[in-house]
Amino acid sequence: MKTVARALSGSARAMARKPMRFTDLRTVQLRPPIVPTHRNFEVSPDHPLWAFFPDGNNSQTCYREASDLDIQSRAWTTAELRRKLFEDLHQLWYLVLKERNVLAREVRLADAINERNTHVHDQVDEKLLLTQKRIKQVLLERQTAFERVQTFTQQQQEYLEEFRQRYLDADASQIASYNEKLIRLQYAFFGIQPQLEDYNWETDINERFVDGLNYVSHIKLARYFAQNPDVEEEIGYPLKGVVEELPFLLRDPLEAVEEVRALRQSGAQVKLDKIDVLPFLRLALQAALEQEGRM
Amino acid sequence: MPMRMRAEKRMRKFLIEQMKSRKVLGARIAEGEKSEADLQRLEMAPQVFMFKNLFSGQVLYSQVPAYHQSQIDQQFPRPNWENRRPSRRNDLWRIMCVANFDNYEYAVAAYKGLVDLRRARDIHQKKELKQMRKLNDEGNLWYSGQYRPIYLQEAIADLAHVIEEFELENTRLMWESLWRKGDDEHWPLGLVSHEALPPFNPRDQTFLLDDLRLRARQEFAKQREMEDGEAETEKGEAAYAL
Repeated sequence: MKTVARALSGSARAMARKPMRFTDLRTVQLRPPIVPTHRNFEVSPDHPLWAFFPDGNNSQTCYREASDLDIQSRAWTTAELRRKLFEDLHQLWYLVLKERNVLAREVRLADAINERNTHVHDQVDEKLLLTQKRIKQVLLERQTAFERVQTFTQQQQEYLEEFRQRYLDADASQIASYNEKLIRLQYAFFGIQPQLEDYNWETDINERFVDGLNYVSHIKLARYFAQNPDVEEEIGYPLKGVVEELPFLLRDPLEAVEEVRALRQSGAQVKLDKIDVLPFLRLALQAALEQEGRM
Repeated sequence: MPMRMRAEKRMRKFLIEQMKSRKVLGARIAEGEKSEADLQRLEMAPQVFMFKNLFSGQVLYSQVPAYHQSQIDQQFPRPNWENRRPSRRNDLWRIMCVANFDNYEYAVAAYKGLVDLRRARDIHQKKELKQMRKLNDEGNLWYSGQYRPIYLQEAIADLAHVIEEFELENTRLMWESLWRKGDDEHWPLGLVSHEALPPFNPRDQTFLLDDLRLRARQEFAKQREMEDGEAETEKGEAAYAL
């Protein structure tokens, strides 16, 4: 109640001032409307909506006239796109998409203003759309080619055998490039990632991986034996399971052979049961990745 | 027509009355004009809430953080095709500005002043007003769909008018968007400060407004305590001097 009294006593203060009400509504001078203005707030220069303007936050205008647009350009041809990496296509797709968004916003703005002719905008947009369609087409071609190649088991075996022969016959000057080829081959045929950190531990370690490991380790071992025939008698051929094969994937043949030798001398059981193979590979590769990170 | 028993007729009458009385007309706390004492009794803060209508752009004033059909009827006295009496639908009224005043007297005066100016605009000075408004090619109020932004802009001009005319110092305006405040030249220097409401989900508007009411009330109580303290020290000093 104290506060009530005080609030009312406030009126004593106001006795001195003029009455707080409009006396005559017919004569009171009404004010013109207050128009909102954007000057009352600042827009962050990295606001995501800037992506809808042609030059981002440096844009001078919200609508490009026909003369400002690039009319002479053409869409990317399928032949050009076929030569591009997936990453490039991905990047290009989003560049095109952003540009199309800018154009669509400008067309929408022109519609609202009701006066502008957006014919040229539509023409540019058609070219961009065509580029997008072609990117999709190229990716589809690649996917179909990839899927079809999976069915060519006979040819794959032939190629792998041929590659093995060439790898063994390569001289010292060629071996570096052959090793790079091998890395590409093991990725294309067996899905073995070139970098350890790129592995998806759930899906990438599978039977194909085991097959690939077998192929890669034996091809390297065979070349090592060809250069060091005395080791062949000691180590023997083939290797015993993935435990012995894995070092050949991760390290030089020389180090790998040392490791295999150490394994055999320690007398540890190196032949794994089938059910243990994939978990072992997963753990071993993760450990290798950690070790790499530590180094 | 089947014959009705007397009891049946009575029952029917009661039923209709019941249904009428049960019709929801909005928050009952917002019904009727509140005096300073009423606001105190209802534990309200010295505030005026301005709601904007998303559909038509009209503005509704309220002394409490809610609104009632009676306020709509009172504040839109002469509806016409350009200025229809808006619906009470609570999804259409979004808070535009919360005006915090220095004391209850100011809050009540500001509310009455705003309602008076609305009457002046809608009834007494309708013709003079037309020159100040933006018209379309056909000579009607500019609109897009049913939205007429002029009502919003006029309500804000009225708020500035009331604050300047009544000299309501220490007024704190909290805007849903500072964009609507317009240029600073429209606002009396030294009387008003502007800030932005926190971003909120419209679903939680009632909670936000209630929270603002509570905070304003606490602020008001704190200020009164400080004033009390100052008055007492002054009294003490005066006694000491004597």
